[in-house]
Amino acid sequence: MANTYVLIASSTLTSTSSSVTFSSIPNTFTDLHLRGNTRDNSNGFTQAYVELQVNNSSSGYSFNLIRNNNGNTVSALAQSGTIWSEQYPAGSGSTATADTFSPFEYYIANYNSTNSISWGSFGVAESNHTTTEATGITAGLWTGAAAITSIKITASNNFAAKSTFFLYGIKNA
Amino acid sequence: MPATYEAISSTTLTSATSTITFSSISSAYTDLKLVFVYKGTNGSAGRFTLNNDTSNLYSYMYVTGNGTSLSGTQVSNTSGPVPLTFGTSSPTTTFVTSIIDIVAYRGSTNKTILGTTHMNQGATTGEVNRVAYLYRSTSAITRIDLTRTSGAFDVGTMATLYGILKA
Repeated sequence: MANTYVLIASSTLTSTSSSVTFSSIPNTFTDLHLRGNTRDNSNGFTQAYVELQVNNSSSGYSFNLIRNNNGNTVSALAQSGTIWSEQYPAGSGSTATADTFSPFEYYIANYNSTNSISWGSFGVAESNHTTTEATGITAGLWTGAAAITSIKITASNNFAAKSTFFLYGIKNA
Repeated sequence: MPATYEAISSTTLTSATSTITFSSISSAYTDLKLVFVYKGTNGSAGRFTLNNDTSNLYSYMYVTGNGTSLSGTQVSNTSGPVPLTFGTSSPTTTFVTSIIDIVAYRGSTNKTILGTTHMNQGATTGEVNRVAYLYRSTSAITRIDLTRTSGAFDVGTMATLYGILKA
């Protein structure tokens, strides 16, 4: 039986970068699984987040999430008209905990659909600091009515060097 | 390197259907992952049943958010089928993604299941949840049924069962 979980592309940053883009995504899979391990280089313990943008589109996004982004209060949030798909604080900047990265993942099901496309994300951060720990679970939706052919992941400030990104394709047959 | 993540079976609905069944599930894997992308003909919740067992061997505990508030509880000794969502009506125009991870599905111990649902209805409504299910059966999982509280799954609904090997 064929392997159905295939690495499409990956990126490991050797210097700071504001975003990473995976383009020309083939339509030969059923679902996409994006996994990253990132650090934002904003100063101090400033909370950072990740944006997901598909097909260079700037409209049609909405999300709702559960998050704990200060170490003690869990909250719910929903927004529309934004590409702000997941929020979490990353250990960051010269005064933050060194060599600390935050993993996240997006599961984009049925990405070749020409109806609305939904996805889920999960991200965590732990910086050994009482106000910057985080867990975020997000439901996202894009109503662009087109198959996804590119994904851009943008940092709230800049991704630090050594941040990694892996895009996998999953087949259902 | 051997293939360790394989599609066992997949269904995409071309007409509204009340039940999607994966049966005769192979014992060749270590874990199962069900990826379920669905919408309904009405707002009732998606549900699942294991081994066609509707007895009260199920329990679950969840945390869920609807965009403005959080809730969670634990439910013991409940009958199958068990729900995938809690409180928010399922959409009829956009798709919900539910992922069900069944660990050690062929083992001789009770089965623990992680459920995750991401539902966004395009505005400020929806639901995101994580659920710990327990199915107190020592039998291997050989069948999964997907149903709704009422009504059918709509055209375009897609369900894929993956098998994951440890080696």
